[in-house]
Amino acid sequence: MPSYTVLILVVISAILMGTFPIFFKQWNSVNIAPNYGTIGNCIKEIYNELFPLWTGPLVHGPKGYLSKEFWSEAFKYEHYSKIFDLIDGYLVTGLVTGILGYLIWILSLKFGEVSILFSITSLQFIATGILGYSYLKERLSIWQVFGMALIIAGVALIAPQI
Amino acid sequence: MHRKFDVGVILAIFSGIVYGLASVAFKQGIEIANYSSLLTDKGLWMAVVVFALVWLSLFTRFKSSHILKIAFIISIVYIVLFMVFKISFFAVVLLVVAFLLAFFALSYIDASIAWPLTGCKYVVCSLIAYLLLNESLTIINISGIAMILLGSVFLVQGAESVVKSLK
Repeated sequence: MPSYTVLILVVISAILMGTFPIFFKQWNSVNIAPNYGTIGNCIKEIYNELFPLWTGPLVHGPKGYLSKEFWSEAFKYEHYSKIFDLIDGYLVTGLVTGILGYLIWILSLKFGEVSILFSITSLQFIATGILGYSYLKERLSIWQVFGMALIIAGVALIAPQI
Repeated sequence: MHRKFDVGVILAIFSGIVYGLASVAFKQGIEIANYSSLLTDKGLWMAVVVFALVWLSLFTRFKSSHILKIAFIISIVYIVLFMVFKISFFAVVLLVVAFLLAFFALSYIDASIAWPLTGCKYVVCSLIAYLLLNESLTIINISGIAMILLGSVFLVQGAESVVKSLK
C-alpha cells in the first residue's frame, strides 16, 4: 500500500478517535448525570436489578433456569428498559466513531511501524480540542492553540518516515 | 474537589500507559494474523453496515427502535470477538482496561484535560516497540514525540488555566 494512503487512513482514524470522547462526555452529561449522577451509580442500579433476576433460580431451588416462570420473567422488556434507554444518539455516535477509528488504525498497522503510526494518531487531540470548542462550547486558551500547533509540528516530523 | 481532580488525572495517565502497551500488542497480533482473511471477513463488514444503519437511523423516526439497538449491541460484541480471536486477545484486554480507565477519568475531569493526559502512551509505545519489536528510534522520532508530549502538556496547562479563570 502506498505510504500516502496509509497516512490518509491513519489521519482519518485519528479524527474518528478524537471525536468519541466528545460524544461520551455529552452522553454522560445528558443521559447519565441527570438520571443516575455518576456512571458508577448507573452500573450499580442496573446490576441491582438484573443480578437477583438471573441468580434467582440458584437461591429459590424449585424455580430452576429451565422453569417457565424464569424464562417469562428473565426476558421481560421492563427489566432491560434502563439499558435500552442508555443507548441514545450520543452513545451510538461516540461508539461508532471510536470503534471504526480504532479498527481502521489496527488494520493500517500492517503497513508501517507502530511507533510512527501511533504517534500520528495524536492528531486526535486536535480533533477533540476543535470539537470541544465548537460543539461543547468549551473555552480554548492560547496555550491550547499553541499545544495543538506543537502536536501538528511533531506529527509533521514523524509522518514522512512511514 | 482537588481530590477528585487528582483521581481523574491519575486514572487518565494510567489509561495512557495501558493504551500504549495495547498498541504494541496489536502490532504483534496483526503481524501474526492472516491479513487477507481479516479484510474479507463477512461478519466484520456486516457489523460496519449495521453501525452505519444505526447511526443513520438517528436522523429518522426509527431512532428509538429496539431492534436496531439490539443489532448495534450484537455488532459491537462481534467486533470485540473478531479482535479477540483474529488479532490478539491480550491486546483487547489491555484496550478494554485502558478504555475503562479513561472512561472513569472522564467522570472526574473535563474531556479537554483527560484526553491530552493520556499522551504518555506515545512514549510508552515507542519505547516498547524499540525494545521488543526492534523498531527504529531516531532523533527525528524522539523529537517528534517530545513535541507531541509538550503539545499535550500545553493542552492540559491551557485547560487548567481555563478552569482556574472560570472559578
